[in-house]
Amino acid sequence: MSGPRVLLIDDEEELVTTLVERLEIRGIEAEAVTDGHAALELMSREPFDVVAADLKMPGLGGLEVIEILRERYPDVKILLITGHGRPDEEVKDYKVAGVHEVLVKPFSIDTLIASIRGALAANT
Amino acid sequence: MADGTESRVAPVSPELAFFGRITASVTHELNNVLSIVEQAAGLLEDQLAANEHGVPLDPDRLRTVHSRIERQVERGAGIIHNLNRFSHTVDDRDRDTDLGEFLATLRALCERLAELRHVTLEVVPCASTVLIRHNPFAVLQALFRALEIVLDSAQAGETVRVEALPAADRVTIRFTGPASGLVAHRGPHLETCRSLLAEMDGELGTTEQSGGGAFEILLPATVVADHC
Repeated sequence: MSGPRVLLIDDEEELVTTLVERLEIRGIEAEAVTDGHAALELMSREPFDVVAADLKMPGLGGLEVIEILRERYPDVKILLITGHGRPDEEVKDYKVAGVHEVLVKPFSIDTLIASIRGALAANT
Repeated sequence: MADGTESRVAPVSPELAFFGRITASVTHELNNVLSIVEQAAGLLEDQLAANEHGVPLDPDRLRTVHSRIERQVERGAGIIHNLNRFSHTVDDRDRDTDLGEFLATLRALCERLAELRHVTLEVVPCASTVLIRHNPFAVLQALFRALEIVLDSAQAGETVRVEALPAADRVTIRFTGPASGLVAHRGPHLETCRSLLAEMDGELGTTEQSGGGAFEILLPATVVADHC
């Protein structure tokens, strides 16, 4: 495959496993990990174009992972996933933090793909 | 709480804030369940669509996805059951409630909070049937506040233990965690806990020992029968 590579980070293993299968059916190469440390370890070995990270995870939370990613991989596009009913309240400064978009659970596969494409098309 | 959830609802009463905090946490978890069900159902649809284009259906793969949905439905039912049990604590202001029920509800409501901190939560089942006659919502709130403080004081990898020690006409509910932060803790959760306990003739104590510390809630109770 020569399309974008996407990394999904969420401690809900069955969610990210299923999303990976569905993205790959649609020609998007994806990997999944269930915590922030595993994500950083994987990213040190493999390149990714887009990272979608859950906001609340045991250990390193989504915002902490994003902060590290911004420093180490400034070109990687970032999406934030949350189950919070009012994400604007919870992550007020997400755009400042370099997050392209916030996805609110539950979201459709089409929404995820549109966000991935939107992030890849964005200049910043 | 460390995640700042409650700071946005600070102007409302502690009771309403507690109710909001619990329902926010539970519905957050339900969103995870629904997300998995939605994606698993979508994956089945993907496979049927591929089949229409000549790709044979893989029974093992279908079974895997079906099991995923079943597991999540069961998980969702458990979450709703716990939320329902919690909601009914406001039904009667003065009734006998088994402490075992309180501890089971407390565990269900706090497991995710502990998990997010990489903290192991151990709730030891009561060795006796212990009845507490008071407003169940207030009792649960006091227990939650105490556990919240201990969880907030714990570091990743540590264990927080909750156990009941019945004696004659009282019961001690002990929350054991790290010593650091417990004794010195001051804050709204502690004050809320203290005032709730004062209303039910209870007390809040703190003990410190090498390698750990504990909050102890003492409540008037009736020990009905020994389980062992």
